[in-house]
Amino acid sequence: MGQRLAGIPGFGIDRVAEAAGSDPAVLRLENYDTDLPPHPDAVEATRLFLGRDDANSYLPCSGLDEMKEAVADLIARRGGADYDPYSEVVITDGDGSAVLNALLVLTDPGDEVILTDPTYAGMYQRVRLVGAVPKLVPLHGDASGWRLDLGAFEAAVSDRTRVAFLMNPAIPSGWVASEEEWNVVTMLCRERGVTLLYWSLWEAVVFGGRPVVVPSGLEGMHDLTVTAGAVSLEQRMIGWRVGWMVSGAELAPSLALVHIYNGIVTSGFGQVGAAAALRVGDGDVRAAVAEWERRHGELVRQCDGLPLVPAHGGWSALFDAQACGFSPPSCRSGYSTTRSPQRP
Amino acid sequence: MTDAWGGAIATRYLRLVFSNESVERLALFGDRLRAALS
Repeated sequence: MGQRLAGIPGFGIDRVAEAAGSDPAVLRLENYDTDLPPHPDAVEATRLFLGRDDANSYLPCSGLDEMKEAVADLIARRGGADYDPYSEVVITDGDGSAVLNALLVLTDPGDEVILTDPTYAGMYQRVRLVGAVPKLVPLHGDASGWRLDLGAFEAAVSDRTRVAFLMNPAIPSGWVASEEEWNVVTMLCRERGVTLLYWSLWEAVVFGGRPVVVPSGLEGMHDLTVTAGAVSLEQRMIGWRVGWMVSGAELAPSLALVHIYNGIVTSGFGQVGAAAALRVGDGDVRAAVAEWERRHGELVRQCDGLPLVPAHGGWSALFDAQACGFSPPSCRSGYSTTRSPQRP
Repeated sequence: MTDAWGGAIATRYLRLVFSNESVERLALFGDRLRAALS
């Protein structure tokens, strides 16, 4: 066996889910999932195209035009850069393969990629899978939320840095970058020639009236941003497995090329449904966000007086278990025994 | 979380996903959490 997987840890969430079993009394707090359904238009459009020959093909390899148009429109209407849907958008089988594609295009083994600590395991480990070197920059959490250590971010940029790999809001912390943080990150990208790999998984899932910020629309970032997104979370279409990569014209052909050899194409009927969901508009997303914000508010109330760092967006928040005397291994055990809690 | 999710900061924390449970069900969480910590 090759050494590519050496040191790459397992994911763990599946083991916690297995421990929770099917007991309905167990609160399911382990997996990024939601019970809020997709918009009916998305489901209906998918049904209409299921089984049609033109939605059951490898072609076009880079995605259907209607889906590319919906993605370019989504980015533009939220204040992002204007991208040409036909030459700068590639539709993928989900956002996970989109970011792996992007890392394969943007880095060579040994190149450095900046991530936050904490970060999403699916980001950290994909960086290692492609042979790049992760450089972690701290997020500091307290009762008001999370802030990026900007001094550490600047210090982390070296001559080997190729990519700043950020998700906003961030998994798992719920960090939402402030205007100052975006300014520093994008300034360093411009000055040091670093590409921002931006995972836009749920950029509109922000709380407290915070603005939706699309970094490709910030000064000088059109060609320095690679956006990877999906309909999985905002549009609640996890099972459709439809995502996208968007970049400036110079990078786009390379992203399309690596996509051919890693994924090829996603389902045509899935793309039609995803495009329908994006065309519904952001009112549907805002309604879902209102419900997720209510749930986050309840979680904060339940943890009153305990060291929970509130999320400013997203689907999860972090509880400082170490401050309560739990080490990570015992956290895993305690987490799966929520119904009959006892100290491990 | 394990070190799959970062470094010294990540491993301090327990991840709580709140998107898949209703407000009514999440209202059960505080008592369970405090019992686990006691």
